[in-house]
Amino acid sequence: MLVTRREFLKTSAVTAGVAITGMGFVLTPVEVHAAELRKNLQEAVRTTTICPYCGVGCGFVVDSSGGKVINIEGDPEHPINEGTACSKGSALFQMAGGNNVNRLTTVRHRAPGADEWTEMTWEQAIPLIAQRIKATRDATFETTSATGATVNRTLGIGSLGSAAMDNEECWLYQKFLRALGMVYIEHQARN
Amino acid sequence: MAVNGKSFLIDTTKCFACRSCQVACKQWNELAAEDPVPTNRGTYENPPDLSHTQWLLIHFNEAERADGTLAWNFVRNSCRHCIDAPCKQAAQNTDSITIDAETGAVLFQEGTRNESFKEILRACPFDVPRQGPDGQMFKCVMCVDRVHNDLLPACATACPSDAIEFGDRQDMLDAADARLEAIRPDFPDAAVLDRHDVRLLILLGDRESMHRLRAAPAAADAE
Repeated sequence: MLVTRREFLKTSAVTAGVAITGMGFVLTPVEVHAAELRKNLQEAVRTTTICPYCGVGCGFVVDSSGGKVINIEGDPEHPINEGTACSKGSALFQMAGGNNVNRLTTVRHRAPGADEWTEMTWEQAIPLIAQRIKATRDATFETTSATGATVNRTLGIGSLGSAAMDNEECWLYQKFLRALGMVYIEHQARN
Repeated sequence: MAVNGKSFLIDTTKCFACRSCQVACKQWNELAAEDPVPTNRGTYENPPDLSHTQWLLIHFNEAERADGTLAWNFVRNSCRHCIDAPCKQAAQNTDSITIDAETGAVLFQEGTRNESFKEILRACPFDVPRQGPDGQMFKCVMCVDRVHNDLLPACATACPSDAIEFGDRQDMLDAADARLEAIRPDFPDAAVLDRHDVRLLILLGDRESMHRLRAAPAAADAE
């Protein structure tokens, strides 16, 4: 059975009417609510992960059902945070796909000089980004420095980000940037 | 007769106002962001007040002590889950506001939309109930769904500084006494508010933390 977030939480069941179980017991709304949560907790797939934000590296448990994230909270067995979280970590659920209606789901492009955004597909956006990286890199690439040392670098491109990437993603990302010859590589996940 | 059930211990001397509890509460209970988004009021306290989607708020209390130094204290405001809840007494229908037998949590049910918000709010000594757009009233639910499954409330789970503890009532009262004893040298005025009457035991380090934890009598009676 797939469990949706709504079913997992059953927030509304706190205020639901009295229900009768298959065994004939009359349960109060709180008991109904709690029994459903218990069932859903048992059925959810529990996966551990590390918070992508700061360098503390708190552990989190992701509850999912049918590949869909239904809850994220601190991992009580993790030695660093012992189940707790800061205010950013407490909001991690909103990062999981499809859980935040305020997040953009399409590529948006503001052309040079334009005052409004237009939507673009990834198929359009990625070649455009690639072309611009190549053009800038070709125009600014230096094989040697002013003193004659071999540098093979470009000072024409920099990277800042991303605070939402985890350690492994950051490693992969900076490998890619260094392969381009970039040296201005920064990351802002420090709060 | 001893009062059973559950209680919170809010140790304000440990709180550093990260407001992880506020976020965890919203996250677990699926409460919408405040609308409109609050603007800068010259304080880190945010949002400015409890609402039907904001069940817990950390006050950033600024005050001048008697010796002229400045106090900046962080105090939780939310439903106290009163042992003998005045809001329940003020309700016309007995099933509008119920008490969960196992935990003692005071729960606003859908029927609160048929109650007089003015009367319910006036009954609350702490100015906590808030009304949603369709008339139903909301406040902290003690995460009873979690507690019935041996989980801590979302706020207590998230709190990184142990400022929010949750457990059997007598354990919390004992923990409060032990803590009061331990901090007495640093906080000679430390006290637990309304310890015999509420399940949200707020331990204050000093009297400067106190303001805005009571409904103003004038406001409650104003018509």
